[in-house]
Amino acid sequence: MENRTEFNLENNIQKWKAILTKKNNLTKSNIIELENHLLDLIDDLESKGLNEEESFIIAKKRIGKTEDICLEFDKINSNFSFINNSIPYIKGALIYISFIILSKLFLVTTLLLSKKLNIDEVTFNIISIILLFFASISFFSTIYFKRGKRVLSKLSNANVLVTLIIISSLTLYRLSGEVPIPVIEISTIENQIANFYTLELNFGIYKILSGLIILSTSLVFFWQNKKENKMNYPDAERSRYQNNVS
Amino acid sequence: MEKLSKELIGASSTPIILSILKKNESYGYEIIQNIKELSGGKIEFGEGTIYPVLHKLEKKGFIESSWKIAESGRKRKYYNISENGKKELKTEKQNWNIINQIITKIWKIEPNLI
Repeated sequence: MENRTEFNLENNIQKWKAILTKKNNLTKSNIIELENHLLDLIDDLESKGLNEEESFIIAKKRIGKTEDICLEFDKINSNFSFINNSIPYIKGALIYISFIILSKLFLVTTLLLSKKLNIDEVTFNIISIILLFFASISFFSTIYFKRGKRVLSKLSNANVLVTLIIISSLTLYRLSGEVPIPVIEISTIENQIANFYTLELNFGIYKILSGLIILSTSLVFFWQNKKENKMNYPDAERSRYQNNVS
Repeated sequence: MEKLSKELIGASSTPIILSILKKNESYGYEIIQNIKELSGGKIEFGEGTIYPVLHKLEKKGFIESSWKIAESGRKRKYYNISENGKKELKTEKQNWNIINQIITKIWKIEPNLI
């Protein structure tokens, strides 16, 4: 006898939705609209006597090939799909920037503390190694646990990252005034490279400007993405829905 | 039964959808059922592709949309024709009438085209 696994409609719909989501050019509300169309079609076909599996297959076919749908959506959502595709890169850049700034902040605060607490060089060395070790351990342990992963994915939100970067760079700016970080005095170096200082300064300004550009673009992209995914309910409908849910 | 070409369906989609929405507000699935019934099955396309068309019309300001919750608890996006859309429908009607007149004129001179 043929051994067939039972057809699970919910699973199959989720799979179908996952393919649409992967394409990156459909907003959440687009997918909900299509899903409800599919469900309406399935209901209609089932009322005509087809079983769940048959209804699903035919309904999927009637909605059309995912490639065709995505191609059509891409024409009107071109802006959205560009933003959606670039968000992972922006997140990567933001995470890198925040890593650099946080490590600088770590350096400055420990220096400041050691200065205030009058810690000698050897103890300071041991303490800083232990602190770095604990920081790495706590990072990997948050990745290991499920809840930690959820927290991390929330933290890697563009909104949170940009705020984190701005706040920590402001604190860094404030604190670095109090800690005299050794600077190489260029005039004392023999054989100095011409215009090294000017180049350094220009490059520094360039770094700040590009940092600002990355921060503002990511904020704009984040808001755009949120706006596109939003579903507008009339107020009366929203309260009705919430009542239904509760 | 011959089916209409993709290009012809594409060109006529705006006046057809606007005319349906002029009668009353509706959602994607219902609009498609309407079109199928009206065309007697001559217009056939991937049903999912109606949504990009609706969204394009919405972006142009010819229709407006709002989410509602159906009796079944399903979320549905309802579309409504706007004042701009009514104007657009008027121009579309005039344009299609012009094309219709031109074609009838040609076919009157040479009636054996079919």
